[in-house]
Amino acid sequence: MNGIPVFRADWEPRLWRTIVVATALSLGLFLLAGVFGIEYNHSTATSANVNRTYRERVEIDTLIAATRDAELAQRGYVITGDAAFLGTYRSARARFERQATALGETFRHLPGQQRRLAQLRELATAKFADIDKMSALRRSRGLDAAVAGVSQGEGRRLLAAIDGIHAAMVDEQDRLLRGGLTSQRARVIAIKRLIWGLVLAMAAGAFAIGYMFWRARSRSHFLALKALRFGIRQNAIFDAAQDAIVLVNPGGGIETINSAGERLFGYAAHELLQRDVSLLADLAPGEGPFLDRLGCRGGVLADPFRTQLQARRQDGATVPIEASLGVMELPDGIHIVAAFRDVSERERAEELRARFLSTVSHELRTPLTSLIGALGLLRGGMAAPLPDDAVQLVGIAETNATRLIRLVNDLLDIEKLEAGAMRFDFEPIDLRATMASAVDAMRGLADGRRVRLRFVADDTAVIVRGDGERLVQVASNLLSNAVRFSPEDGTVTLSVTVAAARATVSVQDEGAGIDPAIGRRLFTRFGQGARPDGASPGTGLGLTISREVVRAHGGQIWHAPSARGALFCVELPLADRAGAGDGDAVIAAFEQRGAA
Amino acid sequence: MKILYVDDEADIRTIVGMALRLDPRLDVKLAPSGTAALRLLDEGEWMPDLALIDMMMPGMSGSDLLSALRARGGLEALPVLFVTASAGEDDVRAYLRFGANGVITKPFDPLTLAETVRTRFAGMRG
Repeated sequence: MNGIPVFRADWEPRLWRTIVVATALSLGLFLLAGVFGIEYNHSTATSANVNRTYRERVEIDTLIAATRDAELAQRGYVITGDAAFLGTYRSARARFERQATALGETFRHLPGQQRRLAQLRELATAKFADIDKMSALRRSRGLDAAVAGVSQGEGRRLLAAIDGIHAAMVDEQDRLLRGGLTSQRARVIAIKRLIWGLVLAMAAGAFAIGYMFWRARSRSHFLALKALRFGIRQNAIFDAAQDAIVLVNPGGGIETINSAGERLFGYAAHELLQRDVSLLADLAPGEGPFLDRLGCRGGVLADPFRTQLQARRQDGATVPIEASLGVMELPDGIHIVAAFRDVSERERAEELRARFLSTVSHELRTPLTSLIGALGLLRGGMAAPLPDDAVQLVGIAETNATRLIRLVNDLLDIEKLEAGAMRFDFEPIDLRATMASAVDAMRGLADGRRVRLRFVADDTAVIVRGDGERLVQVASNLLSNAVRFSPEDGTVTLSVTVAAARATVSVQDEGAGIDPAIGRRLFTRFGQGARPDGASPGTGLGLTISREVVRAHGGQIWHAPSARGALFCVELPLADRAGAGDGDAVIAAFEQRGAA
Repeated sequence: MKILYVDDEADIRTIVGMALRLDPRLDVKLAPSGTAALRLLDEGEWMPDLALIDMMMPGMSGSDLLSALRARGGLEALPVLFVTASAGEDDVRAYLRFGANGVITKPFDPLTLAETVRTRFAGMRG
């Protein structure tokens, strides 16, 4: 059915997708936090390293400054002979020793610097020895001797060597500082890239989650709208239906009822909720579970139609109804959709129709009976012998009154056939015997028109299931048409043949045949062809009635092309094939009847 | 042979009367209703050998009259033919169930009606 939402498999929410995306995002966040942690530690370490390198450099400068201070103090003592300078010298020297020892500890991990520090200490020791020597010279031999000693340049050479070592050590420290800074910068760039990458990946993840969320929401919205529209439409149909529709749960309880149902049964929908459906009509009489009583096995109803039910209205009245049942499988079991139709109007209409037909039949036929009777008596000379012209005129009036009677009979037959009210008494009959009697009954008419009747059939019985009287009516229609349309001294042949489990009755005349333009119209009401001069009129309903009668027998009737005259064929199923399994019984019954 | 014909239609009564009287051996009496027919029989001066009864009559219908006849002493076995325009197979079966001995269909040929009635009557007795 159109409009029912179809839930495709990929529309189902998938937990794994959400888990994958959420896990990826969480991992991304953890990774980001980890990277930040590592980088923080690393950057702290690098900074400490740079600071230490810088501090070492300052300490190297301090060491060198101590040697400079010692040199300055020596010069001061040599020039002035003031012993206070010797105090400054000793303080500088002691500072050097402490600083050198501390640097020795610091440079334990830098063998190059350690080696240079050792050279520096040797040179400093030599320098201090030179200073001590010059100071002693000043004390013992005076200024000139000391100036001469200093001027020898030993002290300057040592100082220059110390400067050289100092420069090498400072260069090394600078190199270390530069190396640390460069690697930190490179790392910062790499980390920046990594962070951007992670942020982009997380943004993509967030976008994916957003998209998934949007898609889920929009799909559920779409389905909700669809379900809503579907519901509204179904409800409108449900409530607009003329039949009462009741939805019954597997236990026989009423779940829903439409407006027509409320009107039919006289209850408001809420008054019927969960009440047993037997309150409304005996849908499933007897004992046991509702669905069993209803004849519902494996989700299939044995008989989905129920006739001659009575609707019990709330006010105690009953209404004749018919029910049509449908099965609806829901997750909580098989539900029954019962559509109840109020047939009281139809029954009234059928009764009216039957009464009308009966009245028409009586009221039309009664005056015609009088008319035909009176004309017949006149023709018979009841009143007085009639002159020839009067006899002819009375004959015309009588023929036409008879025709009117036939027309009424045919119209009533058509009405009955089309309303399905015509009763057929089907029984096994020998079609040859039935057709032979139809031919015999037509002899009077044929003789009157000087037409020969010929009956052709095999010796074998042709058994069909049929209503003999109605089949004679069909044959009579065909034969009377053939006779009426035949020329004088013509022959009308009725033959019965059998082929492929079907019997065929054909009626062939030697008249002018039928204009192909009339075609199918032949079998419609009053669809008769042109009448040859002298042919008496028919009612124009014979072929229509014949077609309906033949159809009711499961056969068909048609006008066949023929080289000369008109040819009508009626095909009927043979009895032994007409009903599964009853062939022998049919033939046996027929033979028994024949013997009796 | 005495024949009682009951029909509410005066024209048809007249025609049937004329048609039957074409045969001088038939003694025909006509009644316009079931009640009139019963009254005639009650008089007891004239008892029919055969009754022809129209089926569809206002008031007492043909079948009502038949029941009334069958309920009377001395008339249980009176041969009765229904005269009717409704003579389909179903109808005929129903009439025979009511207890009629046969049916004559309207319209009939007035010139052969007497002959038909005599033949049917002979058939019933034979």
